[in-house]
Amino acid sequence: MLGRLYETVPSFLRPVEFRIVRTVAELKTANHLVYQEYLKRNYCKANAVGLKLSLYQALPTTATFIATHRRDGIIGTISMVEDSPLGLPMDEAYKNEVDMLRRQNLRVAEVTMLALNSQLFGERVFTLFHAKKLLLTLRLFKVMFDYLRACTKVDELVACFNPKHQVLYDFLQLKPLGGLKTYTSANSNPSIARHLNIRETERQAKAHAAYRLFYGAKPSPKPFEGKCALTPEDLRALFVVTAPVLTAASPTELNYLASCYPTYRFNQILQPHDPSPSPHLS
Amino acid sequence: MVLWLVWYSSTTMPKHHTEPIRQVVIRNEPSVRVTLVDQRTAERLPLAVPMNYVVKLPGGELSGRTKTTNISGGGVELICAEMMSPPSACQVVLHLSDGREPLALEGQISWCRQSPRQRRRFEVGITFLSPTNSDDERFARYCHFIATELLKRYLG
Repeated sequence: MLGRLYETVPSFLRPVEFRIVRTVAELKTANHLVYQEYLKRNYCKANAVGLKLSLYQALPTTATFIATHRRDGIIGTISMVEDSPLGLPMDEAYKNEVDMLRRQNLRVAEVTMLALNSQLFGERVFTLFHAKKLLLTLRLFKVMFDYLRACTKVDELVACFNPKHQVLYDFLQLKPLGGLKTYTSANSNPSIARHLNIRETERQAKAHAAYRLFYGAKPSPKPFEGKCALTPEDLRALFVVTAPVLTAASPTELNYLASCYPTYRFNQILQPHDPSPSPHLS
Repeated sequence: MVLWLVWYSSTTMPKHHTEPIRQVVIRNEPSVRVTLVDQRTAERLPLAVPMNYVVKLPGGELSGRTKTTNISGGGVELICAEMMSPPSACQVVLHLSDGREPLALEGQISWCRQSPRQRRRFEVGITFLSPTNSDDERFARYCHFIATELLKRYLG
């Protein structure tokens, strides 16, 4: 049971580890946190499995990061979806805008599924006014940033979010990309889009307080070597049995996904799930 | 009972304090007693930011110039020579260290008490009013200033 963390900031952050998700169990817990927090804010509809799963999370290039407290488990999460023939989640509303970046031959990735356990700070705590919440959020961004710089060739980060969070993303100096739209994947809530060029943030590192946090030592790929790799059983369990994500995918989408896992037998992964009990158990 | 409390507080205070702390209760109307409220959902930073203020009182306006004793996302605290009645409306102009023009914000006096450390001076808390527009540029600038100062404090 989470209690309020009243310690000073260093004491608050000391027992928290910021890293990439290493196991499917962590992936599910992080996803469940997103589901819970998004449901509270009406960003998603309730469902029986308590998860917010999509085809993008089945991609091996998608990375999920967590803030995990020694005592209280996963208290924050953020994900990054690299562009691919499947596109990006925000293409649903901002494809034209993201295409403008693609036409410049920029490698794009979307920051998505940011969630902090709201029991930590209460409902009225605004991120930019509260040191613990601010640093927890920025440290999550940092571990994602480190991965991006150490393990990918991504040039440009994009994000779409509810306009009420604009102050935070403006603080991080994301530039306008797309105007106010209704975003179906966020339960038809309003949304705006922003983008950030990685090299430009590196140039501004000395002048911006948050960027100084992001651009310390050159990140090593070593901490990310344990990145969770989904097995065929994981893909079936999460994206067929738990939620019919793969079964709802188009043939083109499935073909691309299968090409990402050339040794996996997708006909077995996609076998219809029979929820009825096995005869020998009755 | 009252005398015992005064005696108790004076004996438990550090030696350099010789008088018990007095708290001035500001009354709006004779029948209403204002409670001193301190609801902190934002961290206070001990920053001395130069500021101008204009407080709208029933009899007119009170204006002055001082420095904050601390600031937070919710408002500022300051010390001044005048008593200010909550919940009087006020405008605050902060001369922030971000190199830009002074920032004007609307607020109201949330509390006022006689300063225990400076004779004939008052400690005042001003709560900023939430912007009606979520993209209010002044609000955004203030948010960014607070966040930057928080990061400087905790990251060095």
